[in-house]
Amino acid sequence: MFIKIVSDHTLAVLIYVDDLIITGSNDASIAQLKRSLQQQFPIKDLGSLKYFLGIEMAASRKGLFLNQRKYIIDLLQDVDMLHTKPVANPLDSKLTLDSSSESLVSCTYYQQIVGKLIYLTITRPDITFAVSLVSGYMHAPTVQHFGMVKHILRYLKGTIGRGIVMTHNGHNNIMGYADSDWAGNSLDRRSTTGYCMFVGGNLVSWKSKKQSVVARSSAEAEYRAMASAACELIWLKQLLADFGFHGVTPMTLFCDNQAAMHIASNPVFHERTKHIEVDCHYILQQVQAKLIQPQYVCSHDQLADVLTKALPSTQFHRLLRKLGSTNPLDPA
Amino acid sequence: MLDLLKAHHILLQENREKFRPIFFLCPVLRTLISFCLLFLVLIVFFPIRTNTHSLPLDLYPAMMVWGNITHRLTNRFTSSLPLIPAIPQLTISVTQHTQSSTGFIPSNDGLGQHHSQIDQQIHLQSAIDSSNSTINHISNSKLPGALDALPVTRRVSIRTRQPPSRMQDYVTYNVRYPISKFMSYHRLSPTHSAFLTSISNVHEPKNFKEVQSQPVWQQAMHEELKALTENHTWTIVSLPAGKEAVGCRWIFKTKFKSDGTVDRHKARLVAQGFTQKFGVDYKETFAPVAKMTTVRVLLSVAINQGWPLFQMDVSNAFLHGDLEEEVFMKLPPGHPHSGNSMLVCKLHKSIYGLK
Repeated sequence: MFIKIVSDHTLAVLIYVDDLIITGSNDASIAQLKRSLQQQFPIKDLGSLKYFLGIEMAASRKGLFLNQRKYIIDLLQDVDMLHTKPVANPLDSKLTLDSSSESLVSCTYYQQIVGKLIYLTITRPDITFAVSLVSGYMHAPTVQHFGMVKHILRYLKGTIGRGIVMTHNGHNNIMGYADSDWAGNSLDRRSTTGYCMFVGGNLVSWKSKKQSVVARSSAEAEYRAMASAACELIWLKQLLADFGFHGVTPMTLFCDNQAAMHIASNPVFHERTKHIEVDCHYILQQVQAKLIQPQYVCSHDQLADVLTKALPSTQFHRLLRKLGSTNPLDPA
Repeated sequence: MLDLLKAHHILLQENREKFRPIFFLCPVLRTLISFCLLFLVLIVFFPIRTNTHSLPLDLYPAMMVWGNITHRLTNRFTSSLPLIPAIPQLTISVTQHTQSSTGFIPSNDGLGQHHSQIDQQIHLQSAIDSSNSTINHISNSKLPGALDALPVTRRVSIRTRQPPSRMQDYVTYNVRYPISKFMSYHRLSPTHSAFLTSISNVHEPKNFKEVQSQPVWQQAMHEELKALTENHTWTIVSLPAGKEAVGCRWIFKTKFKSDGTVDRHKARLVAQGFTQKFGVDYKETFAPVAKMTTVRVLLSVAINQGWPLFQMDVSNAFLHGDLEEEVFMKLPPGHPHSGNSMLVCKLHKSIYGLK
């Protein structure tokens, strides 16, 4: 991404191999940039942004809506599940992982589908947790994992139009939600980190990842989630600084674990936290530098919950609405 | 006696596994399996539970019965209840059948013949003496051997099936969960839904075979080859000994204008770079790929600031980097010399897919 800031206007060009997005505050300078690019390279102006890397973008007065409708339809057609019966959740909330499940014969097929699902998470925070779960078994998938993949595909069938919406909120503040489950994986008892970040009130970054070490307490697991969310927040801050937006700090980081927040803002190392010292020092430093401000949010409103566990239907959809993941193509 | 039953039982179990998928293709395979089935049909009408001696007129119900019977037999066997006296007779009639139809040749009137055979055998049962020697003989090897020799190939009809002509006026394929129930464009603006429809209607071919009959794509490939040649991307040489050529394939893309009309058909030649070896064919890699989060941040910022968003596309598929390493690539399909397997392209410039 290239950004040019002149005294009164900004110009930004984002390059993805051979596709470009151009935006800026000044129409004249954009037109000038397009002309000079066309002189240098055999390049084609495709007009306003509509279809970029398989993502469909619908602009309206309220904002921009991103989804991957065609990609989902093609995917369902590839696996011959276009007429399958849909389900309400990407993961069965009562699912227990079974270590004795039979291993799958066609590993490659599983990997292909999961690879496509990973690309789909670009506009789908709702399936991110489920996809991160099944992608953890790429090397040795079992019949049960394949069943989970099919479940995700059935969920996609019912929610083809879902995507994320970006609205005009008139500010560029950053805030994040960090959450983790505790020992959620029944096989290796590792916890899952989940975070989601908002820039200017729009969801831009989210992640669901199994932690690399076993957390001995839920506070510890939450704490690691906060630390990785803090890294992302700092990166977003720098990215916005590149755009010329500086006064975005302190960035709020919402967390639903009081103990983890206390460790983050209080420079006392307890007996139980001495082994997570590195994370402690990192986030402590950010908090003391007034870059990040941890704030408590009750579990009911913890938006990152969808990225750490399989939720029951009602709560799942309530949180998705708050995240900005909507389905304007829903016929109802 | 017990041994015999045991042997049969195991045999049944084996065959149940072996034949399960085939059973559902019953009309074609009835003669092949009928050996097994007949055996079971005879069990059915032994007075274990029922007293009826009438035979089923269709083979299919006979198969349905089969599962139950094995189960019942298993129970009886494992609980070591006194065995019914009819069992030896049963096995003998099986032998009869095996001997009579060793060739397993499907007859024209397979069904009827089997039924008549069953009838005959049932009538014969009283006549045939249940001699122990015969039973031992069977239980030793003959019957399992005969079953093992059964050919398990599927005989599937090659006749093309069509619905009857009177059904042509109706939609007979009834989708229970049609996609229209889960997606509709009624909330979108007419222009955008037209755009979506047009991009979904375009089919992008997946491989070279698919496009051979389509002049649009042929033209696109021709243009790409011409552009690559004009750009001096490669020279055609014969492959030196000890070198391996990297494969290549065509990728077909349709490019759209922002109003949804087709901008152009794009054929792109990509090298199958995954066959390259580090240190031999390539040293370092770099691609200007933006993180998806960056894309979303850019969009969010642009929307919050009210900036317009535009899209551009670099139209020619070759890259501008010169290759330092010596890389050979197989001739692309569709190239005038592609029939000659000795010739390869020696690349001077980088193309897509190379590492």
